[in-house]
Amino acid sequence: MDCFNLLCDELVLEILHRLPAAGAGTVSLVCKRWLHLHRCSKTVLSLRLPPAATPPSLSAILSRYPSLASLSLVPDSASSPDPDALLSAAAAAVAVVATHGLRRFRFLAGPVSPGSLSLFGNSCRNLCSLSVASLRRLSFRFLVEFPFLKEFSVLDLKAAHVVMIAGEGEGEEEEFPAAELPIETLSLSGIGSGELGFGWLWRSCVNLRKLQLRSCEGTGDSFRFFPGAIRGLRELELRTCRTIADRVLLLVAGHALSLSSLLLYDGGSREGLLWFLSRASPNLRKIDLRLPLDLEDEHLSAIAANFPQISTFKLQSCCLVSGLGLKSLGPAMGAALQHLALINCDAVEREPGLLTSLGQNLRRLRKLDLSYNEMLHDKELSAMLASCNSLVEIRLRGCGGLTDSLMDSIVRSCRRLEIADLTHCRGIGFSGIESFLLNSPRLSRIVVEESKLSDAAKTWASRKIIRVG
Amino acid sequence: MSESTEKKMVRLRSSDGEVFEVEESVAKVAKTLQDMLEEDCADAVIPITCVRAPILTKVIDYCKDQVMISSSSSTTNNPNERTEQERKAWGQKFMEGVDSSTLCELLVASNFLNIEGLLNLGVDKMVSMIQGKYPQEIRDMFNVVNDFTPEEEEEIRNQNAWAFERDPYYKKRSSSK
Repeated sequence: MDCFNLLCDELVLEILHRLPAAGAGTVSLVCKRWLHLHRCSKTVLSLRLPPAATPPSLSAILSRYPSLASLSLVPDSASSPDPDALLSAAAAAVAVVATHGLRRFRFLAGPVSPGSLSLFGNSCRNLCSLSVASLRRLSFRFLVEFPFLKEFSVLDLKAAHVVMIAGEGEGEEEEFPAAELPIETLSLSGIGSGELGFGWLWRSCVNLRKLQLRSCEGTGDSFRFFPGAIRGLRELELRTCRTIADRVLLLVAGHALSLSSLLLYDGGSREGLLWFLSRASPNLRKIDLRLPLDLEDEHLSAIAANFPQISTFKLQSCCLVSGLGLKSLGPAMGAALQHLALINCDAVEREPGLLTSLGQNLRRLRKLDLSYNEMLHDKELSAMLASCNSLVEIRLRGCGGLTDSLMDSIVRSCRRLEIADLTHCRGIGFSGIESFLLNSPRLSRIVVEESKLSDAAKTWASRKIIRVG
Repeated sequence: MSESTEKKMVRLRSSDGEVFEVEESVAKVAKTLQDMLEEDCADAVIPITCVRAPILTKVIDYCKDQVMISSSSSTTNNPNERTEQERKAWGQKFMEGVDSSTLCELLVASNFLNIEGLLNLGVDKMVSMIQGKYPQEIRDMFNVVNDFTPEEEEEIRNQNAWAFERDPYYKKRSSSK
């Protein structure tokens, strides 16, 4: 007797649903009915397009997944020979099988022309998230074909730049009246310096809440329309945008009056940062700075004075701030700070008593990250933790100076701890990890080398459903 | 609930004609039966048309256990109350040694009788049996006929080679395992 025949579709789907995604793919090959059910139930699909992928083969595959809500097409190695043809094949297939379903689409198989994207929008109007590798031509007016798009990102605009110089008229878009795009999250990478063609986009992004710029040397409109687009901005992320960081920060401080989160990785001069930190919206709650070369104590004082509501403060690789400067943050931020990260900051190791003082002032701290402070010692950290009784997460990755005895202090002080990262801590061994695991009542996840887990620790972790890694 | 000393009994008849007499509270673990009993089917024997006797025996065992746990759960210090771990261990033990065809029948029964807990145990058991196996191994285990032609199989294999599951949008379903 074929046992599977007994099971109704509903049961088969439940079984497939509970299998890990990769396993469900294999299991569905058992028979036609299972394969059909598996494909019908699949809402998320990622395809790695082989170099020989042809539009017909792509539509053939896509037509078998009628419930798709999220689709990613990624090239296998180099970009596909004709991305535009593949995109229209995808559009046609998706239009037939999942007219209203597809919400997220990622197309990374090479640069596509705005025209193909327009057509895609026509067949897939409900899309709320679109991500493309690059554009063949700098024109964003295809976005009006996506009336529900909330997120839009272009991973590398440099490729577009090259083609544009080859012939297309710059700034042709400027004549068109602005649209009212629903986009709230915009992510752009690789805008070149002096490049134009983004004016229409900035004028039309009237609902922008979150802006991510990466490796940009300009805003593509000589900052003409950019200020208008950032008025409602809540979150700003700048990564490796050295040349424009200061200018963007200046504009954001002046125009984005409800900014609540700033992430700045590599960029910002001493003066630019100071200007921003003394004038930005007092609503700022999250600051995340990595490698801000010129960050000094003066900046910290500005933060302490201007942003009383900071709940997340992260500093990574800042070498000019002093222990005293960091100490001054404690009393100012005590009321609201919940998440503190001082990663690879020499001051943490150099200044005795710094952590103790921070601990005493930051009573509401829930997450602490002191990773890559090589010279950090047990005594310093224990003294801090003694006051941090509300911690639920601690990350001490690569703190080679810590030893097993610290684990006892953590167990004693942090009774609410749920997550701990102790990777690359040379000084913490077998027994430290074991006693930590066995004595932390709320722990749900530990990140540590497998070799440091004793058998007892492993058994305990699996019994208490503590995730390892 | 009636608190009469005489416990009310219910009779169930399996598809192969065997009649089981169980306490009403035990039968009511199955939502389908609960609904029928509340509409008052009196003394009649309830036919469970799609469930064979050996399977019904197992189902009744499960229901009895549920009654045993829940009957005293209102009182404090219930000796029968189980922690999450104990519950899991009990479930594993209950499904231990269940072979593939019995499992399918159990799934059908718990689906028909609407016993959520048992259905969950069954689906989990099924998942653990087929996970990591090749399609042919699963076919052998469950007597499934391979209805793909070699050409179709080849085509599917080619297409599956395109798919990958490490999708950034893929959110791990916390419910499973």
